[in-house]
Amino acid sequence: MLQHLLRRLLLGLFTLVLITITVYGLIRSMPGNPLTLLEGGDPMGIANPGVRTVFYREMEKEMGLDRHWLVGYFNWLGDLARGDLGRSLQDRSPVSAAIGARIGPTFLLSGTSLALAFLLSIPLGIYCGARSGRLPERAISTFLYMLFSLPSFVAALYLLILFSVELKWLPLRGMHSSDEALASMSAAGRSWDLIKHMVLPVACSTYASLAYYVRFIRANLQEAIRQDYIRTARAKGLGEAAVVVKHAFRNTLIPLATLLGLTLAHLMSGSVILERIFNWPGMGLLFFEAIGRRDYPVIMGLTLSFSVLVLLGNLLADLLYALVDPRIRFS
Amino acid sequence: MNETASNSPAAGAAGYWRLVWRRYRKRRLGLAALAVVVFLAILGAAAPLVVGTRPIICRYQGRWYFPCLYYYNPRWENPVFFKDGFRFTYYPRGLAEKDPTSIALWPLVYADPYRRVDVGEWRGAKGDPNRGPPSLRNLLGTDAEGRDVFSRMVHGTRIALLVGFVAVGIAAAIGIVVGGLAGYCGGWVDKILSRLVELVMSVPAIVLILALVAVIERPTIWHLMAVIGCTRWESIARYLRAEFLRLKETDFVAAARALGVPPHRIILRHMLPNALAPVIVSISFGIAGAILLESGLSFLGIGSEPSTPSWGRILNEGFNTLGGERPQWWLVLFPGLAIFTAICAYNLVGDTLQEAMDPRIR
Amino acid sequence: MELTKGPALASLGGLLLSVLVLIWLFASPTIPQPPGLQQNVTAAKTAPPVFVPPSLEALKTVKWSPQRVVSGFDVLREIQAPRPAPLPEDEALRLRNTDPQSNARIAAAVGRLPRSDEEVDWDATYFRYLPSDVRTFNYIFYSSRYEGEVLPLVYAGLFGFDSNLVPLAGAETVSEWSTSEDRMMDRVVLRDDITWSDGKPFTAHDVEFSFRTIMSPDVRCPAVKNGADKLKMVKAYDARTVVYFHKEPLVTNVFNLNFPIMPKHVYEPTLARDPTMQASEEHIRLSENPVTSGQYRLVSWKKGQEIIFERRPEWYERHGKRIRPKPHFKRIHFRIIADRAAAFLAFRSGEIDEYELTPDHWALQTNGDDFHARATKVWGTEWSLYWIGWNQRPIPDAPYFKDRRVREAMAIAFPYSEFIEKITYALYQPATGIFHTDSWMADPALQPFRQDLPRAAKLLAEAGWADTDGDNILDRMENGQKVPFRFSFLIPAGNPLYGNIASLQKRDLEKLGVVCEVKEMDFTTVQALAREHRFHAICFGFGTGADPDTVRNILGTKAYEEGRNFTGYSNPKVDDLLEKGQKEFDPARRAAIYREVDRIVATDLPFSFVCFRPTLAALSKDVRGYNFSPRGPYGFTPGVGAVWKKKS
Repeated sequence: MLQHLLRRLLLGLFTLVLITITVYGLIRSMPGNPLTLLEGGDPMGIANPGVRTVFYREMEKEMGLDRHWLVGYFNWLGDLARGDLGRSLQDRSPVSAAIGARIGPTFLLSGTSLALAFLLSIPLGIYCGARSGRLPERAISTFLYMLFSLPSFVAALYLLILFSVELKWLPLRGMHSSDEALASMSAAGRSWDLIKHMVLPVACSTYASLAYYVRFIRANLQEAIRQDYIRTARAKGLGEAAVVVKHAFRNTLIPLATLLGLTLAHLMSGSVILERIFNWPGMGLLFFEAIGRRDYPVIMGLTLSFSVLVLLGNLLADLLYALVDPRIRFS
Repeated sequence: MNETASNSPAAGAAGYWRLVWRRYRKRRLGLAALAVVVFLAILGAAAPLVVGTRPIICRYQGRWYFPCLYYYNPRWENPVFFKDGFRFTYYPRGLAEKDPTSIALWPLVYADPYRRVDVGEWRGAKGDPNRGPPSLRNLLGTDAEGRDVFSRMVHGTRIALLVGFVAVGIAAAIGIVVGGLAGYCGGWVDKILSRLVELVMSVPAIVLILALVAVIERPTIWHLMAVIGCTRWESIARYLRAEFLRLKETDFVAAARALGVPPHRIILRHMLPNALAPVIVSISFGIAGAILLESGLSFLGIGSEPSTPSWGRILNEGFNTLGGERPQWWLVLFPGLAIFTAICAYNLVGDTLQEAMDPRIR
Repeated sequence: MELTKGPALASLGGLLLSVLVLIWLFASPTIPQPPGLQQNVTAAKTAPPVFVPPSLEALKTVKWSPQRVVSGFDVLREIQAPRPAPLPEDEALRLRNTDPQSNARIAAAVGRLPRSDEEVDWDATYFRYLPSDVRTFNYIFYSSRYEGEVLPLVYAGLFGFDSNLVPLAGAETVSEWSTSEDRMMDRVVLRDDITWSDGKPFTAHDVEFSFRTIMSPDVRCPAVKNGADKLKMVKAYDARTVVYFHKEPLVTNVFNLNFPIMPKHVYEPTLARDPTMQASEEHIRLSENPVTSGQYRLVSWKKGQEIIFERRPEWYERHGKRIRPKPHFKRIHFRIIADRAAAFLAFRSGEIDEYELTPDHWALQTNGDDFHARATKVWGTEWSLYWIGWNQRPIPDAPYFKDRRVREAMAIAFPYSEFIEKITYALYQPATGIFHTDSWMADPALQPFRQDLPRAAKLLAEAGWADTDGDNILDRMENGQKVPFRFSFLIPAGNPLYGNIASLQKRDLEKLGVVCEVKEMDFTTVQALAREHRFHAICFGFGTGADPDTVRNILGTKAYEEGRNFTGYSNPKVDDLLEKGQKEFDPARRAAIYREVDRIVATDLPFSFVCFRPTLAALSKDVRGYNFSPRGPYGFTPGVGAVWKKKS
C-alpha cells in the first residue's frame, strides 16, 4: 500500500515536470514577451510611435529572454526548488502574494458553488432515484437536463439582462461596491453587499454541476436499488425512507466521494469566462491577464497550483476508492 | 451483447444496434432531440437554400449555374459572374441587366451573412439598418455593421455543427487509438499512456488554446477545430481503455486469440464494435461540449475571424451593448437560444442512447 | 508483464534525483549580477571622445537667447481668450451634445479656468480611473501612457508644451531659460523654492544626477532613455543653474530636455549599493513610498485598487505667502478598473468623474435623462490615427504590397464614409495623410480618402494581377510560380473598431477578387509580430508625438530595425526631408518640409489612413478646466493641473 502510494507520488512528480515544461515551452513560443507591453499602448489599441527598440533588446538580454526557453525553465525550476515562486513581471510583487490575493474570491465563488451543488443535489438525487419514472421526477429531470445544456455564459448574460439591467435588483459587476460605499456600511451591510454581488456568479457556476450531480446520484441510486440486499431490506419490513437513505444511498457515497476528489482541482481554477463577465477578481481572470501580458512567473505559479491540485485530486479519488471499497486491492 | 463466439461479430453487433434503436424509440424526448439534431444538420447543410443573396439555381446566358455554392467555398462560384462584375452590382440587378431572359430560383430569405444589403438591391427594399431591432425585413435584427442576424445564425449553424463534428472526430480518433492501445496492451504501455492522459487533462485548456492560436501563422476555423479536438480526447480514451480492459478477459477474445487471429483483426473486428457503445455516447456529449467550447471561445474573441458568422461572435457583440440605454437584446437572446437548443439536443440524444444501451435498466 | 517494484522505484527515484541535481547546478539567481565585465566590454567598444564642459566663466561669454518661461495656466488663458463668450454655464451644461455648435458651447463651459478663488471647491477630490495599475513610483522607470499622466503630478518637472504643442518651461519651477546662439546648449536657472517631500531643497544637482542615472547602463529604463540619450551631457554649475549640452543643433533638442528628476540625496547612496535601482529591498520600498517634489504627494497606494494623492502645502505656500498657483484639488483619487465596461458603470454611478467614451457609448448610452442628470459629454480633436499598414518587406517574403499601385488600390478599396458614418456615428474624423488636417504640418491640398472600387480594380490590373485560373481570386506569376492574392490581416483584440475595419476591408476587397484572412490576436502578440515584420497587413493606431519629427521613427529607413517602421517603408527623399526638418529652425520653411513629407507619404501609401480618433469625454457636471490637445486632455501643460471643480 505504501509502496503504491510512493510510486504514485513519484509518477505524479514526473507528470508535474512534464506539465510545467509543456506549458512553459508553449507560452515562451507565443510571440511577444513581457517587455512588449512596456512599449506603451493603451487599451483602445493605440501604440506609442516614438519607441526605439534598442533599449528593449538590452533588457531582453538581461532577463534571459534571448536564450533558449529551456534555460528559462530550469531557472524557474531552480528557484522553485528553493521555495521561491518568483516575482510578477508586472509589479514585482511576489507571485505567491499575487495568487494569494485571488485565492479568497475564487474559493468564495467555487467553494460556495460546490457546497450548494452538493447540498442541493443529494436530496434531489435521492428523490429522483427513488421516484424515477413518475411524472414529477421526469419533469425535474428534464428541467435539470435543459439547465445542464445551457452554457454558463449564456445563462449569465440572460440573468444579467433580467436582474441587473431590467429589474435592477442585483449589481452588474464586481465583488463588492466601491470602497466609499463599503466604508459607510456596517459589518452586516457589507456582508449583504457581498451576498448581492455573489448571487449571480454563484448561480451561474452552480446550476451546471447541480444538474450533473443529480443525474450522477440518480443513476447510481437506481443501480443500487436493484440490488438483492435492498430487496431483503424491504422484505424485512423496513420503511421506504430507511431503505433508500440508510442502505441504498450509502452505497452510492463511494462514487460520490471520488467525484468530489476529481472536482477538487476546479475549486482553484476559476472559470475565465464567468469571471470576465462578472468582473470577479479570481484566479481564472488572473490567468487570462497574465497570459496576455506574458507574465511568465505568474502563469507558471498558477499552472503549478492547478496541476498539483488535479494530481492530488486524482490521487485522493483513487485512494478513497481503494480505502472504502474492499473489493479493490492493489497487487 | 454477443451470445456465442460462433455468431460473426459484425452480425451480432448489428443485431445489438437494432435492439438499441428499438429501445431508443420508446423515449419521446429522445426522438424529439434526434429530430432537432437532424433538423440542425439539414439547416446547416442547406443554409444557402434558406437564406442568401445568391440564387440557388439560375440560367444565365443560356447556361445553368448554382451561384449559391459560393457559401460553401467561394471558389465554387462560377468565374463568369466575377468577370461580369456581379460582385459590384449583386445578382438581382446583374442578372436583370446582363441577361433579361435569365431565370433564377432565389433562397427563401434574401439576406447575406457577410454584409449589409444595400438600398434598392432587392425588389426596391431599403438598405439594412445598422444595429436594427427585429423587423419584417430583418427577422432577428441586424448587428453593428448592418448584417442580418437571421442569416448569420443560419449560416452559423453550419459552422457550429462542423466544429462539433470535426473536433469530436479528431478527438475520437486520438482517443480510440490511445485508449485502445492502452487497454489492449496493458502493462507499461498502459502506464505511459495513462500518464499522457493525465498530462493532457492537467494542462489548462485555455493555455493550450491561446498558445496554439498565437503560434499558428494563419489560424482558420479548421485549426480551431483541431485544437479543440486535441484537448478533448481524454474521456473517450478512458472509456475505451476501460472497455478494452474488460473485453480482454472475455471468452470470445480468448477464443479468437487461441484460433490464431492476428491482433489487429481482434481489435478491429471483435473488440472495437463491442466497445464503441460508451464511445458513441461520449461522442454525442462531445459534440455538445465542442459547440459549447467554440461558442465560448468566439465569445472571448479567440480563434475564428471576426466576420465569421459564429453564434458565439454574435453573443460577444451583444454582450458589449448590455448595460446601456439601448441594449441590443436580439444579439444575445437568439444566439443564446440556438446554442442552448443545439447543446440540449445533443446531450439528450447522448443520454437517451446511454439509457437505451444500458443492459441493467429494464 | 508487470515491472518489479523494487528496481522500478529505485531507478525512478534516481532519475528524479539526478534531474534535481542538474536543476540545482543550472539554476542561477534571478537578481542580475553586478555589471563588472559587461560594462568594461561596452565601454571598450563605444568609447567616444570625452566631452569637457565649459567653465562658468566661459558660459558667461556665450550669447544666450531667452526662451519661453510661462505658467501653463497663463498660456491656457491666452488660448481661451479669443473664444466667443460662452452661454451662461448652467444653460450650456443643460444642452444635449448633438452637433458641433452645442459641443463648442459645452467645451467652452467645461474648459474654462476659474475667474476667482471663490469659484473653486478647494476641498474637492477628483476621481479618475486607470485601466491598469502603475508599476512603480520611481519616475525613471515609467513606461505606459498612464504612468506618464500620473507621475508628473507628484514629481516637479521643468519643461512641457502647451495645448498647441509649443514647448515651454514652467514658471512654477524655472525662473530663466535660454538657448545658446549655436543651439548646442540650453541653460536653465531653477527657482530656489522647490522642495522634496522630505524637506530637502530641489536643486540643479538633482537634475544632473538624474541624467547620469538615466544614462547609466545598469539602469533599465528604455522609455526614458529614449530622448535623454540624445543629450551629450547635463551639468549643474551651482545649486540653481543647469546646462544641457546637445550633440547637434536640432529643432527637436528642446524635447529631449524633459526627463524625470529624482532626488540625489536619496538615491546616490542607494545606487552605490544597487546600481540597477530596481533590485534591492530599499529600492523596492522607495518605489512604493517615494520622495517626491510635485504639487501632490502620494498618500496611499493599494496595489491593483487605488492610488490617492494629496495636495502639498509646501508646493504653493511658504511662510504663509502664496508662491505658486494652488493646486485645485485637495485629493486626486485614481481607481484602478481593468474592465472598461465596469469603469463606465462606475462613472454612471458617480464613482469616477471622467471617462473616455467609445463611439457606441456616445451614441447609445449617454443620451438619457439619467445620464444628463449628473454628467455631460464633450469631444475635442486628438491626433490619434488609425491606420492599416501594408508590409513591403514581410518575413517570410511575400510579393503583395511591394508595388505602389497595389497599395493605392488597397487604400481606395476601403469604405471610409461608411465606416466613419455608420460605425463611428460620424464622430471620428477623416484622414488625408499621416498628419491631422488641423495641424501645421499637413498639406492643405490633400483630400480625404474616398472609396473608388473601379479605379482600384484598374490599378490591380495594371500591377499585373488577374484571375487566370477561374477561381475568382486574382493571381500573378512571381518567380515562375503562380501566387494567388490572399494575404493575412493582423488586428489587435480588445477594440471592436479594429474588427469592424477588418470586416469592411475584407468585404470590399472580395469584390475585387482579393482574399483577406483576418487574424485577431491579443495586443502583445500583435505588437510583437509587428516589430518582427511577420505580417502582411496590420491594422493599428498611433498617438502623436509632440513634434512631427516623431514620424521619423515610423517612416525612416533606419527605423525598420530599431523603430516603429513596421511596414518596411523606405523612401530616400523622405529620409532626406526628415533630416532637414530636424535642423530647420524657420517655422515657414519647416512647415513646407513636413507638408512635402505628407504629400509624398499620401502618394506612396505605405499605410491606408483610416481616420483620426477624437477625445470623447464624459464628465461629471461639476468638473471644469478640462481642455483638449492633440495629445489628449492630459498630455500637455498644465493638463490635469488645469482641472477644477466648481463649488456647488
